Amino acid sequence: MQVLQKSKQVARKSSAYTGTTYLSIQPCEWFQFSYFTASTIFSDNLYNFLDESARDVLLRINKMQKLKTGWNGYGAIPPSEISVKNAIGFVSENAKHRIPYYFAAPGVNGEVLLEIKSDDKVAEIYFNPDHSSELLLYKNEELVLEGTIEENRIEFLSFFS
Amino acid sequence: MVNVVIEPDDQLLRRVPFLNPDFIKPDGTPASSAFTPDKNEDGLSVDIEKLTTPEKSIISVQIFRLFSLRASMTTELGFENVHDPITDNYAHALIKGKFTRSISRKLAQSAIRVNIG
Repeated sequence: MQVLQKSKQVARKSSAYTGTTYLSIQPCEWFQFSYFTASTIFSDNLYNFLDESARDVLLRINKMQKLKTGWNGYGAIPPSEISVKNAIGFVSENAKHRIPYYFAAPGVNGEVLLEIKSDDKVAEIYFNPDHSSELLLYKNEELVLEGTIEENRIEFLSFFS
Repeated sequence: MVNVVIEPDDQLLRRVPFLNPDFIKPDGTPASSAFTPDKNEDGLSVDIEKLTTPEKSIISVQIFRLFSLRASMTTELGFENVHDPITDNYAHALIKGKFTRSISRKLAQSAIRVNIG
């Protein structure tokens, strides 16, 4: 596991520590991802394989977990655990594809939004609280495909290849 | 309170967080989800610029950036702009209609940053 010495020390001191994975994102920061499932735990090899854009969106997703209701100045609710877990899982499971992540933002209804961008091609993927996903592909800001990421994974990957 | 008619040339202001979470992308445009109404809203909340000031509308310059949409742009997309004054905010309005993910992106991409002060 990708573990910083600091997090090991904290973990040892915590009586509540139950073996949760600690993942370093940047040299001076460490974060506890409490939503990892067996399929989304980052091994050393996988973590080291992530490029900077993937690490950046993971950092953004992790920060979303601290949001409170009304975080947008209107009436937004925080991202759900399911949305967060599925977004992290997506980044993990597609690490080998070197996806050019551009941005990550919370949705106002508990979603997590990932934006992927390369030149004039943009993809938006919404991970919804009910486990569903939405994929939108744009070329020159024109919508060229709308569906789910599960049903359009090949189209999504080939879009950026 | 008297409801005003929103004219095509009116500007509609919306706050967008730029700190925790940061909704402003590296290219300066807001994320699409910043222009999506939440399920409890009857539309997308905005302020009518002619009934307020940018300084008042933004509430906190430490937390938000302010973006404007031309009223005619939203009506061209099939929306209805409705003045909806609320307690402490006479300028409040709602952009009402069917919001889709792609429409929210179009609104976000069209929004223009309003400089404060």
